[in-house]
Order: sequence, then structure tokens, then C-alpha cells
Amino acid sequence: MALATYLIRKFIYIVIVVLTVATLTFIMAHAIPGGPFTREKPLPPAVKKNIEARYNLDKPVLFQYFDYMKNLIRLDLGPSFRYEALTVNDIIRQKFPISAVLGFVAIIIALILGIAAGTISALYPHRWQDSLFMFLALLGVSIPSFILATFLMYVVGFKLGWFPVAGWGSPAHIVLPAFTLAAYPMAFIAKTIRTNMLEVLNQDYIKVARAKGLPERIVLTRHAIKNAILPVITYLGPLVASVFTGSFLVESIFAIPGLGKYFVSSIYDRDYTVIMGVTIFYCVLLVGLNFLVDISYTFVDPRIRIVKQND
Amino acid sequence: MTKQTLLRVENLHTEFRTLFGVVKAVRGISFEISPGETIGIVGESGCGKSVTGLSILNLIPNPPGLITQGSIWWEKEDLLKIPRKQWLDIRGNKISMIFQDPMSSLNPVLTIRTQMKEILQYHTQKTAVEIEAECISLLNKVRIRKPKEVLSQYPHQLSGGMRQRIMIAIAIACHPDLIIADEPTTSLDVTVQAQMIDLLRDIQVRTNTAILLITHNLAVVAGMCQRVLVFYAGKIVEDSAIDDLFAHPLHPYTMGLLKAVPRLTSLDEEPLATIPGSPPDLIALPTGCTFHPRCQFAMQICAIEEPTLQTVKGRKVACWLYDPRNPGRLAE
Repeated sequence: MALATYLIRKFIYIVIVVLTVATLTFIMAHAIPGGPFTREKPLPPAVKKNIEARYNLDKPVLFQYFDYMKNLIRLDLGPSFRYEALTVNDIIRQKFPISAVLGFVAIIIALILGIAAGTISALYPHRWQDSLFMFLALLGVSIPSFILATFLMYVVGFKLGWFPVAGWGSPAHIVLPAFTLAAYPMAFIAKTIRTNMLEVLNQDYIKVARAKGLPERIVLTRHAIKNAILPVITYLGPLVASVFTGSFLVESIFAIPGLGKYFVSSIYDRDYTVIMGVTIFYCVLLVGLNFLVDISYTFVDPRIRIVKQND
Repeated sequence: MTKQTLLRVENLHTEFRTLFGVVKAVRGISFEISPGETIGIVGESGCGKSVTGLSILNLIPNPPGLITQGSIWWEKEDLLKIPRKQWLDIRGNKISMIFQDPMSSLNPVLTIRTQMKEILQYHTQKTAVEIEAECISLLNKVRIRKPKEVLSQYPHQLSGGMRQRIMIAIAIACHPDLIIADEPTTSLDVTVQAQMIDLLRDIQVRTNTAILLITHNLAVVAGMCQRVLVFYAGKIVEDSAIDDLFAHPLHPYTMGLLKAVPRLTSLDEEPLATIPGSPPDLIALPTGCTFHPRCQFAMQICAIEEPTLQTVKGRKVACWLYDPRNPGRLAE
């Protein structure tokens, strides 16, 4: 019962967020000077008028807004102005899987390597393992992704020739961009896990676990890591957000035909419907994922459930 | 009566190397425990009583802690010289431990079942079904109602008293020969404290387990122990049978401790007796007897040389007042 009201409340909240984002994006997209059919060499006025009439661009902005919202509620994001044969729904359907694969691989890399590095650092505090990983983590949070991307392309891709420098198509193509995307969250996770792990290892229940005669492996995996991971789960929402927004840039650098690259070029093209469609799509995705993170938190930490039941 | 020894601690030294200097928490402790015996360790905070308990199970966090000297004899083996693997067989199985704070001793994200089962999984050959049955019987032994439900619960759903009962259930799960109880009642309500003491005493009578009870609560000691070790600044200052200690404390520190116990019969106007001064700084200990700055009987020698444990009428005390070399020593 409590869960049902929680879900309903959450759903209403998501709808409000999405409508607000759609409105703001609409205003901002239309506020950029120029339009989808502004060219260096102007179109003949008659042609331009025809086209604008076709896309309702000659109507008042307010009319365009309500027209767009009406379609949005039917989940129709409209046609692309730039790619005539494609609707925005088509573009998302075709291009998002590429971004999703890249993002998913990056998140997995960030989680596995971040948790491993953080745990090892906490187990050997102030020894060389700790110093090494924390130095790398410092680099990870401070180097911008476009610098890391060019560095990886040049050294690993070009000089060493281990992985393709750019493009898309084979698993090897995923490695460099995924690693670039993963660097920041990985470093952040490693630092968080190290701090938490050091705190958790000092807790009484760890002493109790050792006093039970459990092997150190079990003390770590069963008793320590689960507690140290809790704050990382809260971070999963922002992590997914940073990976997806980061992918706009990384996809452009590595010439990956994903949704991020389309999004960036749609802004240059004033492709209103694509700008708005992709923004709304990412908005729904992120709000939805954050919602999943909220729920998953209750599965890991039994203390959260009680609070909700009493709520 | 041939008195066999279960555990013999010899000249144990444990220290912590901190940024501020070396904290000498335990400075040459020696004692023995016989099977089925209950020994109390009493003393103020920071006198090394908990560190002694942790040292016996080699649970001193290292760094900064380190056992620098001594031996801990258990079944003809020095526990400080055995390999890591063998430790796992002793901890929780032969020697188990109950900690001070039941609120933080259970892992918040694991069910009681997981936390009870694991000790049986690692120390017995029982099947899953047998382990489940054993967990329920253990919870019955520590008088927990509805054990089946409790097994599926998480620590935050249980009261402090229940959590400490569960800690006791875990401690007795493998029928250990010795239980080290480190302030098992300190963080509980007085009524619950009494229940815990009853429970521990009851378990001991039934299973003949030796208990090393670490506490600063003299009432708890009086209710449970046969023998008491009084700790001060990392050393034993008095080692005595319980009745003798309460009737005729020898060491001035013990006298002070006994006087400082509030009594129901005392008048309202009467202030509670205290031991003047504060426990010594373990990094920079006083010269001679570590208690001399607070001792009302202090003599010249007390500030110069540290007294050793001397046997006086079958009891042991470390005080110049009773040293045979002291010409004016007290007969008792």
C-alpha cells in the first residue's frame, strides 16, 4: 500500500520534470538565433515560405509549443528538419543502442575497476598500492575527457596500435571511448570506496566477524564490501548521467555514430525537433534510472525499508 | 586437586605506535585460566583490559597495534607463534568473544540468520538443515522468543538486549572452552544487564566454559567471578580471590575502586568517594609505581622503582607496602 502511493507520487513527479524540461528546451532552442532553414545562401523566399508552412514554423511560437506538447503526449517527437526521411523517434531508435552499449561498457568498467582499486587501497593504506591507485584517481578526476581521449588515441591507438583510433563496428572500437568515459566515475568510485572501506574496516562488526574465525576473504566480501558499496549506489544516478552527457563529447571525438553525436550536430543545425526530442529522451532516461537507483537502495540496505513503511 | 591450565598468558606486552608516540597499553601481563573458571579483569578506561582480551585472539589492529613480547599458551601451543590459518580454527571455535556494544557488533546489512550460520559453517561439518536447527536451539538457549522470526530479521529491528543475546548465542555456538566477554553489559540498561549476567552464569554452569570477564563494574564481577585481576596502566596490580578482594583489598588502587562504588545506604549529603587524579598518560608513564602520583600511601621508593607482583597470603599484589624488602611493610 505504502509502496503504491510511493510509486504514484514518483510517477507524477517524473511527469512534471519531463514537462518542465520540454518547455525549457523549447524556449532555449527557439531563443538561438537562426532557424533550421537559415543558410549562408538564402533560399528563395517562396521556397522558404513553403517549407516553413509545412513545419508550422510560420505560426506563432505559442501555437508551435502547444502543437509540440500535444504530439509529445502521444509520444510522437515529430520529424527531423535536417534528415527529411527520418522522424526523431527513428533517430533515437537507431542511434541510441550504440550510445547505450558504449555507456553500459563504461559504467561496468568504472564500477569493477573503481571498486577493486578502492578496496585494494583501503587494505594497504599508505603503502605503495594505495599511493599508486590514489594518484591515478587524482588524475582521473582532474584530466578533462577530451585530453584523455586524445592521449589514448595517440598513445594506445596510434603509437602502440592496440585498439582502433576511432570509429565503430567491432568490440575493439569500444575500448578507448569506453575507458575515456569511465575515467572520471572510476576515479570517483575508487576514492569513495577507499574512504568507506577504511571506515567500515574499523567497525565493531568487522572485529566480530574476525573473532568468529572467518577467513579474511569472507570478512571482506560478506561483511565489508556490501557496507562500503552503499554510498556508491547513491552515486549510480549521477554516474549514469555523467556517462551519458559525457558521451556527447566522446562520441564526437571518436566519431561514433551514436545519439550523442547526433545531438551535438542537431544543435548546429537548429534541428528543433531533434534537440528537443533527444533532450526529453535523456531526461526521461535519467529520471527513470534515478528512480530505479532509489528502489535498488532499499534492497541493499534493509534499514531504508522500515523508514518507508513508517512514512 | 590437580589444577590444569586452559590458557596461560605470560609477560604480554602490547603497544600502539601512534603519531604522538608509543602507547604502552599492556606492559607485562601474566595470568592463567583453568577450565570452567570465571576470571574478572577490572580497571579504569585505558588500563589495557580490552587490549589484553583482543591480544589473546590476535585481533589487535596492526598497524598501529603490535604485540611486542610474551606468549599466550593454549593447548601446549604459543598462540603468538602459530600460522594465520590455525588462528581461524581457534577464533570463534575454541575461544570466542563477546563485545561491548551490541548495537554495532552486528552487521547492519546482513540478517541474523547469515550472521549466526556462518560461524557454524566454518567450524562444524553440519549440513544446512542441521545448522538452521542449531541456530534456533541457540536462540532458545539465550531465551529469545520466536527464534524463527528473529533469524530472518535485521539487527536494526531488534533491541539492544536482544542483540546482545544474539552475540552471546554466536559466542557459544561452537561450544568454546573460553569466552572473552569484553564489557558485555556496559551499554545496556541496568535491568537488561542483570538478565545478561544471569544468562552468562547459567550458560557457564551448564557448559562449564571458562569466562574472562572484562569490566569496570565491580558489581558484575562480584556476581560472576571467582577471581579478579585488577589492572592499572597496563599491569596487574592485584590478583586475588573474589571474597578476599572485597573483604580486604590490598592495593591502594583497589581500595579506592571499592570505596568509589555508590551505596544505597549512604546518606544524601555524603559525596561519592573518588580516586584523586586521573589515569596516567600511557605515552609518558610516571616513574616508579604508575599509581604513586594518586596514592595516599606513596613513599619515596614508589617514585623510583616499579614494584613487582608479590605473593601475600596466597594473593598477589604489586605494591611497595607489601614488598618483603620494605622494612616497615604491612602484614596485610
